[in-house]
Amino acid sequence: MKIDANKAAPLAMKVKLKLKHPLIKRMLYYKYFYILIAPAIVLYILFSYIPLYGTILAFKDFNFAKGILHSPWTGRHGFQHFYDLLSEDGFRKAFWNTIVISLGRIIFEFPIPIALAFLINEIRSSVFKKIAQTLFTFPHFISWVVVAGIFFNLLADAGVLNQIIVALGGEKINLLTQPGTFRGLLFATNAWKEAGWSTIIYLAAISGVNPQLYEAAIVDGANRFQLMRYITWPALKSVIGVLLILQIANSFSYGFDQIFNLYNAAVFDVSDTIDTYIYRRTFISGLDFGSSTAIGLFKALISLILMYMANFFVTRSTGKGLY
Amino acid sequence: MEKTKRKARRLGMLTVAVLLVAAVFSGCSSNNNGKEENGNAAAQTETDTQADSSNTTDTTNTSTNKAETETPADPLAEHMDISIAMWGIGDALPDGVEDPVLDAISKKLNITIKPVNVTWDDYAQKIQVWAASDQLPDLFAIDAVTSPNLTSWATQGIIHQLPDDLSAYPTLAKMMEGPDFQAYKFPLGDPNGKFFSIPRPNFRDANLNANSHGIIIRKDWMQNVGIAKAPETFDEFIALMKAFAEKDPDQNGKKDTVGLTAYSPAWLPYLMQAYEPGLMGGVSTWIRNNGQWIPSFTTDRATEGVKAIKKLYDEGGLDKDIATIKGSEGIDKFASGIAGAYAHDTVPGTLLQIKTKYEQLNPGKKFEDAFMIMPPLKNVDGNYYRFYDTGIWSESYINAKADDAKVDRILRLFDFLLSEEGFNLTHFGIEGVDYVKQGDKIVMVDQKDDTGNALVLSSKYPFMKINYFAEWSGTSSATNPTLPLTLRNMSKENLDNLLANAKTADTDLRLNFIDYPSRAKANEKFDVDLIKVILSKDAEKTWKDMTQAYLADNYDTIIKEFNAKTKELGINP
Repeated sequence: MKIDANKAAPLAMKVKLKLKHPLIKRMLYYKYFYILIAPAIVLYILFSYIPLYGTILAFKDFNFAKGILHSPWTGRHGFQHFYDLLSEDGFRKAFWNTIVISLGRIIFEFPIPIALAFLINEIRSSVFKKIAQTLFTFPHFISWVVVAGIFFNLLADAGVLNQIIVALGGEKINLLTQPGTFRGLLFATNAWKEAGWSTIIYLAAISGVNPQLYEAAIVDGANRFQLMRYITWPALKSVIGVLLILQIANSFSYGFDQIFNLYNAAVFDVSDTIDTYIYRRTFISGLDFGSSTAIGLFKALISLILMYMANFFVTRSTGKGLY
Repeated sequence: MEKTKRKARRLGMLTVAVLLVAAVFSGCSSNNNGKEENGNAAAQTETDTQADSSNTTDTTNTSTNKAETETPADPLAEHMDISIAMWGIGDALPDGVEDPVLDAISKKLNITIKPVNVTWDDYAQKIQVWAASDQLPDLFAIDAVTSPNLTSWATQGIIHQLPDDLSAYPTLAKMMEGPDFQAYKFPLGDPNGKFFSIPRPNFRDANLNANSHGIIIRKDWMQNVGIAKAPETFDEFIALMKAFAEKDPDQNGKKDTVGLTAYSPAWLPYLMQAYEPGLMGGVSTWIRNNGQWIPSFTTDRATEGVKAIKKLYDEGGLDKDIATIKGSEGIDKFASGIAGAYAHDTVPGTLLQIKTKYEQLNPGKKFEDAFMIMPPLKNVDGNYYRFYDTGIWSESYINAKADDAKVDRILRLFDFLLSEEGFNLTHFGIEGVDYVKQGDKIVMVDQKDDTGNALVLSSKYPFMKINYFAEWSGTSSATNPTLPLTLRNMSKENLDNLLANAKTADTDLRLNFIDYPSRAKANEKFDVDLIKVILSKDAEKTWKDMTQAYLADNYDTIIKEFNAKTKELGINP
């Protein structure tokens, strides 16, 4: 086939024009940066985006011989797995517990590292500051299995806590098996373990504040509380906002290790989260891929909605959000 | 100069980027080497449209993969690789370690075992994923018989049906003919079904399973608190446990003991023998009641039993930490003299664990003088009851893609491991080196390790770590020369007493295997509920509310469906 030179010319012109497009130009200018980011993009596509097609399993009855794409759709327009889950008493309870425990974490646990960062920041002696930080950070590195063992021993019938109570003339209690106290115990133990670790980010943000601001304020006669309120707090606000958004987005998947190691039959009713419930249920009846994908999708959807909401409110109140 | 620098920097960036991309792609390239599939005559499968990726389970290295039409003279002539997934097989076949036991098996059957490791924590998940992604090994072990998986695997061509004629494997065939094994045919409950798995028994006869639940008590403590004979009724049991907790049975002048503890809360339901024997194992078995099958948690006797155990707890006879006991805490409490009674199983292996710990802590004292297995408590109906359930746990499945020659070889492997020769090899080591035969008795040769302690054979022969390949240890515990004779006798006397004097719950073992539409919703777990109840304020109300909720939620339907299905199969109440 002969190519008509006259016709080919405008095409070349067009390509030339295309290359002149400002975005293309900019991309070509920064081509090495694009090459550097390529592996990350490839990884994302391979491991995060391509597997997304598997989520259609949430609407299918998985058949081993037919594979994901050819398995039949479930009843109720593909939503059978969701109906089944939501009709389960245990799942509804677990869903409710997940919400209550997440809220509790935000109300009780979230502010602790912030307060701790303020306090550590106020320590004058740098040696003592380092010691305090190490002490608070240390528990983060112990696994929940070990931490649970420690608390079981402290809180057991013959444990230290009960020995103190009995010595003071009180009645023995077992915080681990009382539905009324168990959630509080979850918040307290997690705060003890993780607060120091979360403080690091806030301390880093505080250390980024320009010291001249403090000096100027001191010259103007500000006391320590005023320094905290008018300089440190505004510097921390946006970091707190971002971390709050992340915590809310993660709240449906957070804390399996902790709860799994601490809970027991006596407190299932108040501590069973979606994750622990599903874990136990697979041992009772075995879950098929369809149901477990449906649960995953369900959790992801709720996390997404929560993240949007959190971001909206944080952006409204601090002027800065995630995006 | 500046230009060359910039060029060099660009070149460097480019190289790094290219290397990264290359690394990513090499990580997920598949080594497709065009493995042929073999038709599986047994399972009617639709052809799999997925590409066949073979990674961990590259099965054979033989050139022909077609099923042999003419039977060769020697069925073991051709060497085969067999990939196997089983709990801890990675530790049992470590790379580059000499293992004469494994060598003997490999030589005898002309095979090389390729371990595909799974652990107790991940086996179920891994096998399900492999089944879905067409990557199953030739043979895998899992407890799937009553899960929805079995139905999908058998009907969708994932697992291989066993040949109808097992006469070429006499030892295996003999085991499979046992009455408890017939229930493992698919479709479940259908006596004309086909075998799709090799069940792995702990006891070949459910009656021998009675030692799987029981209570061990401190007889020396009984003397110390002035109670001469073992408790017969539940009230006497409560009195004894209270005495253990309050009357300083260890005579150290401190109030530092508890009554009954357990391996975990799941072992507490054994006490239901005095009330509702259908709940002794911690799950609600189906029992006969006025011409129909009912779940045993619904009976009045279950309510009475729950109240009685609550009474034991309230009066201080039960370990207050019962709900949170995990791992070896319970056995440690018992062996170290904190608890006076211990609910677990009463097999020689468990007795040995307690004996070892107790005698380490109390030099010069003997376990046999201080401990005994508690005889059964009398039920409110005047009878004695023992724990009764199938003695089989877990099965081995063969990949549907294995050809007939490979299936034959796998069955021969099982046949050998179940035979006396194979059993002795995998439990007692090499004859003449580790044990000698005196008549039909096996006598172990005393061997010491480097530190001067008695040698643990599995450190010498790692393959012994999975000597439960074909059978759990229960079947041999009565005759196993590596366990002390005194403990074997203690366990055996208890078993003989139970078989002679105790009844079983009014059930039928085939009921475990019945498939009905709402089966997955039958999720009542008595051991968990029992703990909730005994830690609640008002046990009777909590229990009644719970059972009512179960009935209203699912169980009304489940009972109807279940009885319809049993009628169909002719398993009459």
